[in-house]
Amino acid sequence: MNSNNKHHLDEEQLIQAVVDASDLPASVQAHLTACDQCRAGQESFAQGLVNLGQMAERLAPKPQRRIVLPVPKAKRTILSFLDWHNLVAAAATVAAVLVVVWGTNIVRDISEHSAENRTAEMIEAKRLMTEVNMLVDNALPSFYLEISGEKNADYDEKFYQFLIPSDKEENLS
Amino acid sequence: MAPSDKTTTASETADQLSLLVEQAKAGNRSAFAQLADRFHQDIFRMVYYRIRSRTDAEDITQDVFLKVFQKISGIKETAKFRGWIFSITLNRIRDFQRKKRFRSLFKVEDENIESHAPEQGDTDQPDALNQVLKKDFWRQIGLILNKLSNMEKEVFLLRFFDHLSINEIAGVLKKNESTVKTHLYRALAKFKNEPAMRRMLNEVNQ
Repeated sequence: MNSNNKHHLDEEQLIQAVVDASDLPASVQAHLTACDQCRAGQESFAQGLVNLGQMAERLAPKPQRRIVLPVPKAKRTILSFLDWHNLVAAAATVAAVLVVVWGTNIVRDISEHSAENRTAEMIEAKRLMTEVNMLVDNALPSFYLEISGEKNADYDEKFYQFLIPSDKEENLS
Repeated sequence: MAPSDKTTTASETADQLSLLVEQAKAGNRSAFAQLADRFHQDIFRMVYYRIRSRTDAEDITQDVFLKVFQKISGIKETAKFRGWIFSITLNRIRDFQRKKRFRSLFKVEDENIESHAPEQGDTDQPDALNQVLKKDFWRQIGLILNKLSNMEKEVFLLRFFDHLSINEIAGVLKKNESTVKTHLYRALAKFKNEPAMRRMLNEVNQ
């Protein structure tokens, strides 16, 4: 081999050869192929880096855990809805609906009951007011009205004229 | 093994991988499990190299495979699966580091790698000497990598620790190949001039 060539690869070219020898100029590549010394330098550096990587691999710990793959989603069938999760969810939903319906009914009962009471109170108040008005018109109970003759009293204008004559007649006379 | 045999085997492996990815895309759970088995160690190590905590690395690895499981139906080029999964991993690592930095604003947290106590799971080699060697190796690597910029560090790790090709690294980092080579070149140039790195390369070459 042509190890006597005076233009050996310099440090930069050796590094370049380790990175990618094909990027070197053709003449340098030809020299690298022919020169044992340069090739040995390149191979030693490259091998050192490879050995370093292998040593890192040896001195790195091994993984202790296995990879856990996610559980695939099963196709939904009618039977799959019968698992305990779904049953519990369904029971909870039904319970919630019952609580809502029951609660609404209680509220409605309470409100209806209070409305009836209010109506009864109004009727009672109206009846009392009627009695009061009747007493204002005539304080005597109906029995005494019979005795007093007030009840069926139906006096006409002539009768009142007789009792209290009008001013006109007085003036004429 | 002759080079032609190697090429054939690599091609067969790539074909098998593409087939598995196609099957996993179609919803084949067994194919996905095989993919997970195939990449589990690689992904775990990739995370560990950057986080250096076994527990966190396992959590992130699990997250990565969940993400892959969710997104695999959307992958367009099955041949790029390897680069794609490394890309997802890198994003998850960045998320983790971002959250860690944010948390560190609110509590005193010593991020020095020297302070990392040996973890319970690191008992593959029970003797104390191995533990010390292991710890010292990661301390040295940490110190050397800290001399590099983020991009140089990432390109170096992907190339020599994760064994990705330049093309795959370009895909993972979404950069063109010449940019990747430039960063790799700069990283190696710094390494060449770093006494600790030279010493380490001498040690591993012996």
